[in-house]
Amino acid sequence: MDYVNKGIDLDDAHRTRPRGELAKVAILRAASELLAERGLRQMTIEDVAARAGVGKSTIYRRWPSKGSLALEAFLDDFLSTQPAVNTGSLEGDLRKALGAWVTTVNGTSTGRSLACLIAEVQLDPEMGFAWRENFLEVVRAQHRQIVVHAIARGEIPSDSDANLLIDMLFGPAYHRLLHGHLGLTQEFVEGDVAMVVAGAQAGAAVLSRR
Amino acid sequence: MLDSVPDNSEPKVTTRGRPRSERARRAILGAAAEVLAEQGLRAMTIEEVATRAGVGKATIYRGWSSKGTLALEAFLDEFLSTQPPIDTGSIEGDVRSALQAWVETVNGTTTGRSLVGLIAEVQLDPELGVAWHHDFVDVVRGQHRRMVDRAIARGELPRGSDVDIMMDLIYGPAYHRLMQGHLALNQEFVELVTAMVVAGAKAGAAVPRVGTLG
Repeated sequence: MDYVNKGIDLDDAHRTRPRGELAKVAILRAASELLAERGLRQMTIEDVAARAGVGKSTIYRRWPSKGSLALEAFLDDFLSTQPAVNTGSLEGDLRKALGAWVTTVNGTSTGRSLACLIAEVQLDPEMGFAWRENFLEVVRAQHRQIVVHAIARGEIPSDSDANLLIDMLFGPAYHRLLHGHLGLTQEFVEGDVAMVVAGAQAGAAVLSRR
Repeated sequence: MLDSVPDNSEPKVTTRGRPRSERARRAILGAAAEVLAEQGLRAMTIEEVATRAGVGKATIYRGWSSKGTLALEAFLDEFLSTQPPIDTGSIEGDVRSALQAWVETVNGTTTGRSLVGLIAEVQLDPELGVAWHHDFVDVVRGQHRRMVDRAIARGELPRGSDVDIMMDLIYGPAYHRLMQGHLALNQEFVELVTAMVVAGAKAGAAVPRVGTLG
């Protein structure tokens, strides 16, 4: 093999890569646990390093700040709980997508982490950019497909505003998570979905109509 | 400063100290609102508020249990005065006017930044969360409840329409855009949200379906 003859440098690079990946997984898992247990404010890079069994410098090499590490750890966890949905109807898709979100955040450490991260994002513009790019836009792109499918099936007008419909469905859910004024119940899911479906089918999410 | 203001017109009764402390209270709330808008809640200090209001720190601590509760009261005083009760004669007009007033007050303003800062702080301070519900969410929702009740009385909306789901469908997307900043809070947004909520509610979608759970 080529690299054998090219000496120790490449050989090292070849070996450290999988080791680096293992460290990355351990660091993200430790960060995710600590974030859930203590919240971002009380989480320290020192604790993450100790739990992951790596040096602090290993963490700092890859993540510029505690916030960026927490964000990546959270995203990995959260996005795996929000699969793409395709039930064959707008109502079914909205219910399944919102239901998955509620199940993941309601009364869970994931929900507390989500609320804390949204709070932190308000105080750190750089983190805000990463949040919108790596979290919000990824989730929204997936949810917009629900509207695309409903239009293709002829369930709602072809010029329905997908962004608005997604905000109408998830805005109330984030509102209840952050304000805590009312529960994220099954009743809420049904009511929210019923309102969005009725409005969309009436053509109310189409601006040009007005 | 405040204490040196002559108060000769006040009758000599046992409540004589009251107007003076009321003036101090107003000065403290005014200073807190300014500091909150200029610096945000995180950077705001009781010291700065006391200096600006011309009172001692102890005066502030006697009236408010924390920086958060002081900031909350200062904010609400200002914010609620910009959100008058609305009665246009139709549910569509009421929803549009209410959402419009909210958007104008918060969109790109220091009030909006203060609101975002407070909601962020509520996530980290459970005590502030309790005050937030009681003094803000419940007060505003009381106004909105009357809006929906009138629409039901006029026969515009079916009996049993749930004010909570309607209001969350109006303000949820609005707070979502304010907090996440992913899309604009513009006139188009106000029109579309109004149309969606009115169409949904008129179709009876805000009436909870009984027995469909599971």
